[in-house]
Amino acid sequence: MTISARKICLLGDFAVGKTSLVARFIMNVFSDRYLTTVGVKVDTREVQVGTESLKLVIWDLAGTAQLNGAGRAYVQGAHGVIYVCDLTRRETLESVHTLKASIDRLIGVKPSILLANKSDLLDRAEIQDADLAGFEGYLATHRASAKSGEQVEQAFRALAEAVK
Amino acid sequence: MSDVDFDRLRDLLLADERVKQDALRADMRALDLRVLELPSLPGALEKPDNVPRLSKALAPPVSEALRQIAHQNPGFFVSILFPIIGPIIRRAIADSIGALLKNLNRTLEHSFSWQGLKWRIEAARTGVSFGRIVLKHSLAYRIEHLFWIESGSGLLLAHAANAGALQADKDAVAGMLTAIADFARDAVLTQASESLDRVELGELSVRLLRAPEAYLAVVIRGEPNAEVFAGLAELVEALHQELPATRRDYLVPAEARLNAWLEQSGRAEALRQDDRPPWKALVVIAVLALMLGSWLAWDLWRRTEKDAELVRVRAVVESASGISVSSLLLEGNVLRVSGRRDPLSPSDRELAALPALKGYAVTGDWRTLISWEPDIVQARVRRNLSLPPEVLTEFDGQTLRLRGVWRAPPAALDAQLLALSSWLQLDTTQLTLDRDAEARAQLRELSTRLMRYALHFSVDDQPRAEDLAQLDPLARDLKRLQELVRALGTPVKLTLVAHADYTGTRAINRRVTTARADWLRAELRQRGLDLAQAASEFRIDPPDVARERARRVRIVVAFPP
Repeated sequence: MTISARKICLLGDFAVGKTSLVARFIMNVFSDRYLTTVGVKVDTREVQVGTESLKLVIWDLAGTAQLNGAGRAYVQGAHGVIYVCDLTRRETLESVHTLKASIDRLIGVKPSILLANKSDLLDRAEIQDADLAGFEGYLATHRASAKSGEQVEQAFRALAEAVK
Repeated sequence: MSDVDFDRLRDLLLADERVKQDALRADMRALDLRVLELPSLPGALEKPDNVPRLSKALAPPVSEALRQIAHQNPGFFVSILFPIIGPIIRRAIADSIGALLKNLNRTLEHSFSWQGLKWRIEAARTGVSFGRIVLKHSLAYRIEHLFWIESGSGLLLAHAANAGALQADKDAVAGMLTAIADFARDAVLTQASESLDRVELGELSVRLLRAPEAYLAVVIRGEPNAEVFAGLAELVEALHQELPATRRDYLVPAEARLNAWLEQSGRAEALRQDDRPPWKALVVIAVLALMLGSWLAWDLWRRTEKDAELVRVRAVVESASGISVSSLLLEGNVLRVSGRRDPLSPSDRELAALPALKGYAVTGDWRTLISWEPDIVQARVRRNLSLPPEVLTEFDGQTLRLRGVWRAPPAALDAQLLALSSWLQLDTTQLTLDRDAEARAQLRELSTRLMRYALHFSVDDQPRAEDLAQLDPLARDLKRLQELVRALGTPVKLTLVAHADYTGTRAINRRVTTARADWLRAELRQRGLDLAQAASEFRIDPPDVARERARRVRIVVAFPP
């Protein structure tokens, strides 16, 4: 049986919880050390989209507010992008905005989802729903928590639907 | 206003515009004609007469356009040239490999080792060149995985793995491989055209064979030969040509091609892991092992025999007096000895003449040794003193004893013995030195000779002329006799015996013999000898003695007790 594969890139500022979100979604294959050495870690997960199986090849890029040379190579050929910000750090939302603009220029506008992580820390939130709603160009915006798993599965599945 | 007037007025007002209008109409007609000619343009281009002119006209813009494309989008040319350049490069590599094999053949033909012999046997058995056999065994390998990966995205297009290869998340592996290659290019490589093409992982290596839009990652255990890479290059070209515009559903045909390649090429050249017993090889090995074992056993026996012979021969050589052997070699029938040797010890030729060394030629490398072995010491003394055989020697390691009677020893004997006693303890108490022996021997010889003289007479006291020549030697011998007798103190009695024949009377014979003795005495006196004290006798010979032989005078020497 043929299973199509789609490349999904995960981007966001440092310490926003990208790797934790991926860990919630997939079974790790490679060590997280790749993030600090090569600057990316690739994992996969097969998801069911309607009647078809789809393999998501998830490129978890090391946290950054701007793409460097290797980062620009890593996002080549991506079918979809997940941007992650930290609800407790407002500046991470600004980084997402900058990153998306760079990605759109580099590889064209791709189906994208914005994940606002650490929804379990609402009392310390610096980013409100109104702030998230102000951004355009995303398929969806999710408050998510890598700690509790809230909205993680839904976010990846929504993107899978879009890139199938 | 008539029409004529109207035309005149129009000419006055619109003359310039009408001229321009006519010119425009002419231009439009010319353009219409050219448009009508366009369908015939291909025909015009095909005319041989037009080719040089067209080429000259098109060369500058086309060259500039190509230059700009190459500068702005080099991948365009790579895509076009890739199917052409690949085979050319492969052919060049194949030529190089051919040359390498020839050189390798020449080089290895001069090498001889057990491994080389085994490979030569295989080359002879299979009909494959020796160089290829060496390469085959030297470059054992196995292809574990083939990943056909899209260059930009790192998405896996197809994958094939050898049975027994480690299974991993191939999509994740493809992604990470792409990421690492990108990272290496970004971090290390200086030019965009450079790319990572090899990763070493212990005994595994990953080779990245690139096409414009995808690359083949080959995970290899061991070291494959160049032919394998040529095959992989062909595989990459085929895969790239089949690369569809949309990647959907591409996995199946590409994976089928990868698996087919692994089946045909990979398995054929893979590490030799065939479980079947290689009985032909085993038979060859067994025969060779038997030959080797026999040879080793024979060599061992030969060495043992040679060692035993060496021990025997060494014992024989060392048994010779005054020889100390440091090393001994047997080379065929040549016995090479080195060590120390006394000058009086047996020479190389004398050693070779020993019955125990029969058949050997002895070549010695000797340093001088002064031996104290009894034989050598006695031989040295005997040679230094020129000892006669009747003088015997004995040496007990400390004292040399001389025994016996040494007749007529040399005058310098005392000095020689004194010199000898400076390094050797001498015992001469049993040695008798007979220093007069020679004089006595001369005396005996002289007396015998004197009694052989006989001076014959023809008649009465007339000596025969031919006998007169005896007078001078007779006188010399008599003088020497007197000297010896005087030196030895030995008493001697000289008698002049005169003979007569049987004829004549006794008185006549008496007178004749007396005259003959007197004549001799007088002749000797003239030669300085006084034989007045010598006695005289006369004798008459019997008739059986011829008369001319009977008439003579002679001297008889006697040593009274």
